Amino acid sequence: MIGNPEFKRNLWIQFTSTRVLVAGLLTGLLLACAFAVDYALANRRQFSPDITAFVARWLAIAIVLLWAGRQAAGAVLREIRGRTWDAQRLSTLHPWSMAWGKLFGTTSLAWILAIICAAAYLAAAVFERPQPRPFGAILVTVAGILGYGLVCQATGLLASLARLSGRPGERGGGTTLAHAVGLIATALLGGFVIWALENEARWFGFEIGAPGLRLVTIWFFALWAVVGVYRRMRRELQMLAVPWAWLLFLVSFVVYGEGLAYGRGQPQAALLLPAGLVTLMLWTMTLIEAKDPLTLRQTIGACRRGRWGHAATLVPLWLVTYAVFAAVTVGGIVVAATGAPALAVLRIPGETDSATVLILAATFLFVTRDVLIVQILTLGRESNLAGLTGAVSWFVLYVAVPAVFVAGQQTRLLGLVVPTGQGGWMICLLSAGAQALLCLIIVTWRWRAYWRENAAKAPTA
Amino acid sequence: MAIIAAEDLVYDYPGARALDRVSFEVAPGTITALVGPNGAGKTTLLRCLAVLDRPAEGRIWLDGMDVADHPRESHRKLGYLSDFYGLYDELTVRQCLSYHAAIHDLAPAAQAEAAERTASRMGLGELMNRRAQQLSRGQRQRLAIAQAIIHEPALLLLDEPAAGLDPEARWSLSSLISDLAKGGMTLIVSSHILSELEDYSTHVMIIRGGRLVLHKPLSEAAAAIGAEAEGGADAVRQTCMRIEIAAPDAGFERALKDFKAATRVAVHGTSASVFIPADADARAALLRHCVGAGLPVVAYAEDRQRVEEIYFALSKEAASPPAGGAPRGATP
Repeated sequence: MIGNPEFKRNLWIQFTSTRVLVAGLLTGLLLACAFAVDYALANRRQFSPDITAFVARWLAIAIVLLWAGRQAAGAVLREIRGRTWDAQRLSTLHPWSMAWGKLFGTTSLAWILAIICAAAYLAAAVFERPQPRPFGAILVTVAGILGYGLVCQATGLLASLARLSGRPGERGGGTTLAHAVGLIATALLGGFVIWALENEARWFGFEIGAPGLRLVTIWFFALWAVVGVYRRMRRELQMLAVPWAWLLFLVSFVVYGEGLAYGRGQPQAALLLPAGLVTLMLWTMTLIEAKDPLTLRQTIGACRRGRWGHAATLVPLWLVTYAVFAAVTVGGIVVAATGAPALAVLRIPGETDSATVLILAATFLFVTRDVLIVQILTLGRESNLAGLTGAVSWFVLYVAVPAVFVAGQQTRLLGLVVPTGQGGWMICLLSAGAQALLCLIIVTWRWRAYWRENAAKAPTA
Repeated sequence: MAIIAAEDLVYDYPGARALDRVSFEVAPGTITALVGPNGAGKTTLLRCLAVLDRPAEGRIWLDGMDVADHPRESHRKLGYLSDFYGLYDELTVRQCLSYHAAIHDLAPAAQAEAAERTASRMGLGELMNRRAQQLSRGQRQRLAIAQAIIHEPALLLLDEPAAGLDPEARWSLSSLISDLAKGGMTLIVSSHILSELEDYSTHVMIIRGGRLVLHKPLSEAAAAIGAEAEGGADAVRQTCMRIEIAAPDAGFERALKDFKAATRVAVHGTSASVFIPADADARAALLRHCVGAGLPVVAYAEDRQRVEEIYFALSKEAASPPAGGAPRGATP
């Protein structure tokens, strides 16, 4: 492990005497204070280190999410700011070594302190009285904390890599934004695990127990986030490749979701879930990926020349995700429209209704509109803010406008802006189709204007 | 065989074509001066050659290998130092060099030896345990170059290496570049300080508006410019005379510009470069003119700045509107 020069260099930077001393003293002091309080309370009740367990647990969570998360999110951006990134890209280091060297090197000191806190939690939780927690449950909690930490750190680093366009001029800002992406991803996963999987113990009908399913879920996303960092690092190091890993992730994500929906006798859930999950990924990628019309144009140019392999290495991931999203929604519509025979083939018990088809069709049109809105903003004057302004416009469309309809007790009009299926075919599909078509027309117009304007700016010397 | 060859390179930014069908070959063991105005595409070209940026079209062959297909292997054979480089300030010189030896795939046993050898070559042997943040600007520059050459690359690309250096450090850099070439390394050096490129360059490559204007051995380039000038209707072969005066004089520039045969005058404090027809009569006339104008001339000699001469001659040519030339921009 120490043979990885990138990891070793990070250890040199992380483990300075001042850093180790300050971080170690602060952590030790907090744990010692908590233990002292427990000890003092032992006069009034049986000794139980529950305050120590509480502090150690939350300290471990804070360290892996806040400190290590920020370190990982800024791992590459710091190199860009320090103008050392080019020298690293010029190395012969394998992308995997670079990826894990950064991911675990920049967070090494934080990880050691987090593991000490987790060990303190484990030791304290075992001695909790009057009801000591089962050792297995404590281990699952510790593994969960470590998994959440890895999700946050890897997603933050992945977000910073996704923002890089690989073109000169990148200044290396945006650590806070990348860290925020990592924290939001962890919060979403945490919320899903805590609430949606509260009483869930089966996956594709297999009984694997609630704690087991939670742990598998957390580590499933943690490992995919690490794979994502590696794949994106390959791209940064000029090793272009067809985005098979991203496609595989999307498929495995859908399969994971289907495993939860399986056997519930709710074909609507089984058909809507894949579209919902891929939509989530499409929104994320559309917002965070570098806004680079030039690469998109080069992709289109390669396709026109029939250089499909080259085009596949250039294609932005939001476009790949959109293709998968289109396939999943159209497939869902076909299955739902075909009815029982298709469901039987897919081993989905129950019957569909026309509302499922309507919701899927509206979802396709509305999400197409969402993606096109960000493309319109990308081709505008403030293209560097396209992600942020896109998110704001989505917030208005999906939260503010529906809130007005609800406040005005016009819930049947919700179908005008949200794929709920309310208001019937006319309101839903006509409105969604018109919005998507309008956005498509604007994108086409802006695309032409963008290149016309940029051609005019080009040097003529 | 060429150590590096570029074939029809095209690189686009939104709104600008930075490289427009650039093709060339660089022979091993040469030092090529890459010159051109700001925004000409020099840095973009060097970054493409260093496999840091990928051109939209065209190919680059490094020692017979297509760099697009083998980016990591290419990095074993080349070193690159950008104009705005960074160092790990918290690390010592030894750690910086060991790290770069390791990331260039040197065997663990050879890393320490390579660090010592390169440090000694760059005059950093005494500073091995000093942190990078404690080094002077010249020492930092040498450390950055040491990092770029620790793996003994066959090709070294330097982008504005002399920027911000004091005269002593610049002289030291010139000597180093010559030494590296003598050791068998091929160098491409981009710089704005044209007179310094002259000291060590064997070839000159001029790029303008993303297009390669000229790429020749220095001697051939000078002859070509001269021959072309001689063949022109009203042009003659030019030479550059360097004049130094004893003390600053407010009328220095005016007096030189008054000399009718001067085609270009550049004054820097007490010294000046004057371009005049390359014949003995013109030289003698210029000296007479200076003395006659009351300038306290202490030195008067022909300058060896052939790179500068070539560059300005081509600049003058480029300033005239091209006949039927198409605009060089990105096409929609």
